[in-house]
Amino acid sequence: MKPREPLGLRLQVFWALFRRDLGMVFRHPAIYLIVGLVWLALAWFSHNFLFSLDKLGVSVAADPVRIPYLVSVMLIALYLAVASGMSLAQERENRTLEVFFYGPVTPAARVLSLFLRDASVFLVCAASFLVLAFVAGGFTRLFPGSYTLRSVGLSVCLVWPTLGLSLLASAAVRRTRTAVILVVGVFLVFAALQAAGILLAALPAEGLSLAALVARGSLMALLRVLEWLSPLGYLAHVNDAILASSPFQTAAVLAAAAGYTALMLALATLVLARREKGA
Amino acid sequence: MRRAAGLLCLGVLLATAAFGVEPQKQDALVYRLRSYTVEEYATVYSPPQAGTIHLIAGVDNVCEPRYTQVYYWPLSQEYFAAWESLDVEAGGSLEVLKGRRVLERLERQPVAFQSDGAARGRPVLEAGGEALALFARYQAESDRHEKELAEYSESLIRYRQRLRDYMRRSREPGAAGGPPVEPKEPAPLDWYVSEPYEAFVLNLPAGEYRIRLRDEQGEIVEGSERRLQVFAPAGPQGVGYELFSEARWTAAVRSDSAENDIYCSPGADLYLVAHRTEQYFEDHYVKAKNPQAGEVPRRVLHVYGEDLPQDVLVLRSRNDSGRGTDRRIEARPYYVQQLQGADLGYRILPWSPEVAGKDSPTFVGYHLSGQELRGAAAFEIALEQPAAGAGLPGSLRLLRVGRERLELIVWLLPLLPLAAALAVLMPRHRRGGGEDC
Repeated sequence: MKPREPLGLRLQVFWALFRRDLGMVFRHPAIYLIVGLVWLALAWFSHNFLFSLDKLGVSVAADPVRIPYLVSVMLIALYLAVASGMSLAQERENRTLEVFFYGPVTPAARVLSLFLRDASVFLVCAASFLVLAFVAGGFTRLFPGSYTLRSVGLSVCLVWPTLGLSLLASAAVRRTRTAVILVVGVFLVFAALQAAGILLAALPAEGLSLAALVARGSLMALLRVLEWLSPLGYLAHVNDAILASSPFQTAAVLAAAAGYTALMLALATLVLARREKGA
Repeated sequence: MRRAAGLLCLGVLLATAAFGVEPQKQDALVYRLRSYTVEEYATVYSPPQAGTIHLIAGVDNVCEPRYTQVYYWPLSQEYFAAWESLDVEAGGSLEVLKGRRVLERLERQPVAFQSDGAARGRPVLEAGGEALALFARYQAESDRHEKELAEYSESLIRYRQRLRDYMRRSREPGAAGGPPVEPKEPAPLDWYVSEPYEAFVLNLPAGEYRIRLRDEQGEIVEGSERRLQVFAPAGPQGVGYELFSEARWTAAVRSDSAENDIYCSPGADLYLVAHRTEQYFEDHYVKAKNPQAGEVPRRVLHVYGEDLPQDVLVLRSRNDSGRGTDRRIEARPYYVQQLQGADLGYRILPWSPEVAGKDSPTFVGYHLSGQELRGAAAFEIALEQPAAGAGLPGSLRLLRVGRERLELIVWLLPLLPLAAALAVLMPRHRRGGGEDC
């Protein structure tokens, strides 16, 4: 068994790993492409808003930048899910993990440093969105309001379950390609279930037979449970929590997201430790 | 024989298809309510299966227990009353209980509802002697109006006769005298009072109660007990605006609270109708309108009530250098004219008898001209009560004037991250890759 390193050294190692990981993200074109896409989404939504305003003459919006931000959150989360999913699998494939674990790096430190990296990248992307929204507002007169600011604050925490689940998937597989397929597959399944839930809720009860009504009720109940298991469900809660304006509901969603993430990270650490021990 | 059996089966099938399956009905005591919902007195039925009755606190609500038949309709998952098969009044007095204590014992009294035809006002319910007096006043007014209409039609016949005579005389040489004066049509009766009927009036503070019916023999009527949830507003009263442009006056948008900014296109004429709003939790409010409503989320709902045409709209421009000048706009009646011919659309004109003829104003509201709105990037609007000289709480809104189109620079901004990527990655590429991996 490896001797336990002093806390100071462990923190130094953790900090060095985090800085190295973060630097690598910003030395790759993908992050710039994602930020560019996010900014393009904002420009496209602003164009649409002004176009419809021109046609209708008048519009009422609590915050015209809120919807493009929520779309951006989904884009960034998808990118980070794939990046997190690839991280550990790629290191295992390149045999970098073995080198780490010979040194003062523990599986927990590795999982946590990657999680912190991705959470920081999300923060940077969200901040860049806000900066652009204020700059573009000077040209469009569509400024971010309190809804967007609250959405940014909430999404920074509600993206954690996505990162946690992706790291778990990454720790569980051997090959990078498998990790990407697994992460994308899991997210597609959750997205399909969520879309099915929205479609079912939108169906008018009057047009359905009794059997269809019973099936719809059962499926809706199942989807309500799945909502708390799906990381996309947490991202969808960004909107719900803000619209509800209830501090209790917001706190409950945040607590659930933190719990979910902690569980995923603990499982990822456990799986990684077992795999490396086995190897 | 086989052919006859086939025809019989076909007949049975056709009969079933034609008449449908009659739902199973059962006798029940149903509370027929006129529930105050800010907008109106909604007619609501509460069969025994519906569970708790929801009512707004501090206002009169009407409750009328009746025997009828109820049946379940699976498609909408609701119980319905078959009034056409049974509709009998359930006698006795109504007891309101708080816990086990009888809080009130109510007797039936006459009730009548008044509705206005002009600017939408608060729905009016009168009970007791006031209901009878109101209906008597309405009947007298209605009789007078009918008499005026009869006199008008008679004078119109006389006028037409005189006009024909005048036309004939005017062709003769040396005719004297002018044309006859056309009689004026009497103003329409723009209010209505329903015929009074006997019912219980419930006006309770917020809380949980039970109601039940006690008959003339002092016995509690079986199946008459219901739980009653009386709920208070979720927040203070406010002001909501209905906004529309001339071209799309049928598609008004609403600004419920100060959180809802208003955006308008530059140059567009804007019309606003201000309403008093009340805030309620949606789950309570929806059940006050339909006790059998399914799961409703708990969120605050702004309910639009009476118009506020007596206040003054203050339009305050907001420039970069600070606040500009204030302009006060009074509410005016407007008339919406549908354009004829190929130019489908609408035209909004200030109401006058010359423009509208005998039609009443379509709405009473405030007009913000497009020319005026070009003057600044943003404005503040609020209502001011002329009598008090103070602003109306909850009426402040931010009105932003949007750009006509997205400027090219906003489309170019997304290229900045790509430029940054080139700036960061190209020198590294020239140096021959990263040193971290």
